[in-house]
Amino acid sequence: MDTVQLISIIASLLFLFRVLYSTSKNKLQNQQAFMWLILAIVGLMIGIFINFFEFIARQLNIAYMPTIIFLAAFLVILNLLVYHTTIISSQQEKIKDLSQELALLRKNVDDKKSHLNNSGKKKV
Amino acid sequence: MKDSVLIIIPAYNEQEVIKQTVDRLIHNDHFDYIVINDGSTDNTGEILKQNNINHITLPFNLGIGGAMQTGYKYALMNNYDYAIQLDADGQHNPDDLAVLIDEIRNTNVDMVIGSRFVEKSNYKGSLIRRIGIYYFYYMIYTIARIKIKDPTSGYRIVNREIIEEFARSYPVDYPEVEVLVQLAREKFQIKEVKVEMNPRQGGTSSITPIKSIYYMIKVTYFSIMRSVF
Repeated sequence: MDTVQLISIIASLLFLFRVLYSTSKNKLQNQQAFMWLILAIVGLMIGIFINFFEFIARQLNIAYMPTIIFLAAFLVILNLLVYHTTIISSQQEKIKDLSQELALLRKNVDDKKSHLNNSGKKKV
Repeated sequence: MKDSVLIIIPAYNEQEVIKQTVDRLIHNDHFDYIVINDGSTDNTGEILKQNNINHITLPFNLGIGGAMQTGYKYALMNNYDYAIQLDADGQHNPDDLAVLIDEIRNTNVDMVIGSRFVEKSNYKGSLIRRIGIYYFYYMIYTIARIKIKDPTSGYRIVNREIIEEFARSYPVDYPEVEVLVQLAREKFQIKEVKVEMNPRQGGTSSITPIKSIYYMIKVTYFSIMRSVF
């Protein structure tokens, strides 16, 4: 086991630990927690089976092996970003709907209150 | 019994003009109206309260699209047959309300747009605005095959079907043009009538040159995407 592999494995383990810790503190929830767990495990696997990537790189005539890992990581991260942006968009939409609902309900309550106040005054 | 009409007045930081706009409206006729205070940070909220102006206050700024949609949702909840957008800054002349209402009642179209065919020369940033209007005219015609001479006009009346549609979904920013493409593709009938527009009486235009370019690109992008997919 060379230094690069050792560092990769340690870094992956730290990352895995971080994901598990965040999940246990409820800072990551549901699918998000699960998704990061899988990514952390995949990272660890890459560290452990780094020789396999050397093999693939040779098959694909790629001179510098880490390029494959960087490319794969880049694509995964890019897709994750798009995924997260769709979540933000849908949450924006929900926040908008909620604030409209809130404003409409508050209007309703205010109207009912002033109606009650007015009818009260008329009786007196 | 006549069909009921609601006038929706979106207002964001319009303390100088909002009272005047509503007063002109009430003096002119006895229309139902609702001011949507879109999270104003100036005294618009206090002015609305003190003068007993019928209004809804949004908890924070949603932008013109979010504010208008609130109005359409209110119209739907209260069973109005027609809803009109009237800008708070005094650009839309309340005298033309009757023109819009008569037109939609008599022609049975789904939307009538108050259209200024001639631009006022003292209109700020009128060149880029004119380029924009020209551009949108052709874009809408290319994508949706309808001719709208004043596609950026916000002065418009819609019927109950479109109120329902807008309550479901309405673009958040720069909704005017995007909505036309959307409606045309769903085979709603749209018509224009000529109205006069005044230069704004207070506040500042939200459209800067850079925003205009973003506006054009954004609307084109969404319109094409929705036609393709």
